[in-house]
Amino acid sequence: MNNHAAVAAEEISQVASSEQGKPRDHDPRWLAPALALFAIAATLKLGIRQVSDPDAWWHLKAGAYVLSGGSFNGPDPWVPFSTRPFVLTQWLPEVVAQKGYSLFGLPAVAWLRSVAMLAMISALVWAARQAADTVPAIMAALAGLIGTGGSLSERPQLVSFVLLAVTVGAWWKTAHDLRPRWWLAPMTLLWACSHGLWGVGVLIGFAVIAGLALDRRLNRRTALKLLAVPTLATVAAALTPVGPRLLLTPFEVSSNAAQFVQEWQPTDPRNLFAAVTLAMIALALLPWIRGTSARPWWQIALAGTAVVSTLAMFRTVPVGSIIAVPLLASALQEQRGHAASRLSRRGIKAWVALVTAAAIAAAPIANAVAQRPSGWPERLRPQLAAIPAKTVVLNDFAAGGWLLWAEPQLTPVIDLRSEIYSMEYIRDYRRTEDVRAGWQGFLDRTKPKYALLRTKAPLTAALEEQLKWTIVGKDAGYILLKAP
Amino acid sequence: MAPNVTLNRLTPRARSGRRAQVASTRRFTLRLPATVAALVVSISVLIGVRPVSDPSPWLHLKIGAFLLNGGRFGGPDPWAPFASRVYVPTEWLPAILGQADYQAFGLPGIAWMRCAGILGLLSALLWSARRSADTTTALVVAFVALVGAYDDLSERPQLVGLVFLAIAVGAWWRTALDLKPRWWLVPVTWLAASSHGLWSVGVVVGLVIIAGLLVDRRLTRRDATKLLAVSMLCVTAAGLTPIGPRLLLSPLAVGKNASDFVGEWQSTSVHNPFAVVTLAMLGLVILSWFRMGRKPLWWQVGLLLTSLVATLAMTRTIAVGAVIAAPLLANEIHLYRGGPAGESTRRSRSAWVALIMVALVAAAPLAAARAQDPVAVPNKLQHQLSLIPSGTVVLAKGDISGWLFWADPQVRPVLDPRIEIYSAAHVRAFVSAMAAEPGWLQFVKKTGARYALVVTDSPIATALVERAGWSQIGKDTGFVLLRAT
Repeated sequence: MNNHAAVAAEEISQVASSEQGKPRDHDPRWLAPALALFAIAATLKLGIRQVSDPDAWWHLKAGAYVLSGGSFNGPDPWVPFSTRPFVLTQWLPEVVAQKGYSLFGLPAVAWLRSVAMLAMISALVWAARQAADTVPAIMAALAGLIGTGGSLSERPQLVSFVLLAVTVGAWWKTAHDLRPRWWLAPMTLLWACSHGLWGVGVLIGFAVIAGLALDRRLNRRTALKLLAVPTLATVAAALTPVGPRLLLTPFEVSSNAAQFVQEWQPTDPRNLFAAVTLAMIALALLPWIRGTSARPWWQIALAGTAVVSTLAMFRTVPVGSIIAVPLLASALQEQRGHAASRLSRRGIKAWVALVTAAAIAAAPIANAVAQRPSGWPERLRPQLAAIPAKTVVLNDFAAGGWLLWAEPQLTPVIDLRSEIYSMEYIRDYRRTEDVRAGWQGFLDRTKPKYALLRTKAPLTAALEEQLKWTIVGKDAGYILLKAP
Repeated sequence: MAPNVTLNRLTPRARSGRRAQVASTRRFTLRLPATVAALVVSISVLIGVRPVSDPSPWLHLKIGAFLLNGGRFGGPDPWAPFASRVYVPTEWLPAILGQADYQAFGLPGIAWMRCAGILGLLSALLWSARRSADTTTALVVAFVALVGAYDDLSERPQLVGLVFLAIAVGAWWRTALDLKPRWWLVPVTWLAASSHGLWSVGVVVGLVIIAGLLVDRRLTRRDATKLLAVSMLCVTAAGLTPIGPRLLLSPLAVGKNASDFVGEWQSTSVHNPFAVVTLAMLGLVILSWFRMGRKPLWWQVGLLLTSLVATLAMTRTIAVGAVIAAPLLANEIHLYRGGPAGESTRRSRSAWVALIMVALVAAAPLAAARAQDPVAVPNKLQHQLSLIPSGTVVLAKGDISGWLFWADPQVRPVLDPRIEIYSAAHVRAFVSAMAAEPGWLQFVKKTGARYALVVTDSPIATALVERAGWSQIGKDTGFVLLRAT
């Protein structure tokens, strides 16, 4: 942190202790700025690392495809074994990341991730500030940062997390003042160009409105106005370059992914991030249980959405965590015995200055640590580059994206975009991967000449032992095999 | 223990006007619990008398026969050549009873026992819920809890463990209301500890309630000491079974290996329908707490958290969550509906016992008709298995190895369901070999296995046939028997 950051932290301290002209709580003067500095520093520390996510590579490739005039919706341009159209539902962050990559290499991707995470912690603090003072708000946001920790990688979903936090905060405000936030509609357009979780934002809107209706706080006019917001947001989502088809893509993706992709599987409650999120929700609900007043339905609806999201699948644990942030902040605020103070312009400015300083500081650090990807067989690149163009490579499922990006002249049999393959094809691939009866049928179908697999995979042993494939090289837990 | 289920005769119909309406309402009030009771018990019987299908009872039957014949575990394991630890038969009581039953009545006897266990669990759940709710509410909630516990309603000792747990929950619930110690829990815990490891959850429930009562400031030092004494004596009783004090540590020994490799010890998936039922029960309780504006007591909060943790911790303990949730949900529904819960009468208890007796009698011919043959095991391979030379090592899928013990006692499985008697390295190597990961053939050679009873088309079946040249001897119910050439 530089001098600029220290000044900003001091300003946050002053703002925290003198909002609305008088101190509202007994927090020491240093606590709010210390927490703010800690939150931003921790976010920066978590954000700056090498690029490693298996999905990052095909997103970069998709960005380059859009920039070169590729279609948003059509046959897949790279893998001939795909049978369903490739719909670019996340084109905006893909284009931004590819632009950054083409200018500054992989450090730009790492930097973008850090910046998105800084935006997320800011959005979380803002959402929590709707329900609590600065100190409990930052504490809740930090808990949210840990809860989302399993998914904070260089993928477009980070944009979703930021916008989801903003949406939750906006609906929290609406629940208090019953005013529609029309800006959520254009924001959803931006969101729908970035990632498929925009639907959760719409769902939260409907959940809060339903809760307010049950609480009998809405007259017909207000209800119609509020309902218009998520409805317009849905319409906005249909106006992206992908067109109305975008509205159905989450179902298309989930029908394949739910069966074959790990992050779409049900959450393991013993998973650290799920456990933290469930603990956040439990802490938020404890004062509700021990209180004597009936809780409003809209808060119950939000809590229910958070629980269901957390337990439904590993992929949606961050959704539960983000929704839980203002709930937890509100519970912490209740312990303070007074209503939350309002956000001041000065406080916002100080936070923005601090985050900007952190984002600037992130650039040289990212440049130093993220020049090379992590977890991928970079040392096999010469051998892979020597393989003739259009050769089919029997690849590990997770390595498909990296292979597409690193060696575009080769043809992987599959990649992580499970929605572009038929279910029967994926099942066939899985049978081969597990070396179950009939596993060689997939080889006859795709005719690979090389294989890039995990060293300890059953298929690796089968190819070597039974079909006498030979080892070309090994790196980072991967092995490159050649057919006899 | 038997709850208040009114099955008495109805009053004659009033002839006119208001009297007729009152009589009609009264008749409905009297009829409803009896109808619900008959329905719930009938469904429970139908659930109970299905064919024997669980992979575990075969091993328990074998252990029961071994113990009945004077066998004792202590030295090298009598059946498992790769075991590295001594087996502790913690579930000896139901194993012996099951074997005695099997000797007398065959497999229908086992199915009937399961049915009796389910009816016992239903009765215990009803007793647990009835303290704070009227009969109809308690009946409905007990049945919903039974559905939540469905995964564990199999012919295994854990069903007995669940019955004892429901009794412990009901007893501690009553203690939380009247602060009286239930000393009879001590001998009951001895029986529970002789049946299954779930006895320890009963003790935990007691400690949670005592802690809650302390936070609620409802206990004097004398009361607290008395209640803690019940829990401590329960633990002592568990240490006094024929297994001795080492029983107290056995759940840890089992859990260490099982949590890594056994499906039911894995964490719960919320896509599991029984987890959904149990979580819905808890959700309704929480919703009631949020909306009713009543402050639940800490011991109730403690019970709810225990139930929630049990439900989410692993598939195996969803049933524990459902059993603990039953009185909580019954209490909330009853408070929502209003009116007195009413004490159970001797007559109602007798009526319930009679109903259960009738159900048990009816279950006997049903079990005989439906459960003569086991399902989900390769019964048609028995002949080929019997030709395998005595002492031959067989690579068998973990679950089916229990049946293999029972069906063909002379063979030696590489691994069996008593996973705690094997080293973690052996279990890991077995799991890796079954997935045909690199090194699988070395493992097979190291164990000296000459036969394999594995899932048809599985990675190991494919590898043995295609890469090791083993030949297929027979196939049945999704299993294939292979022989080394």
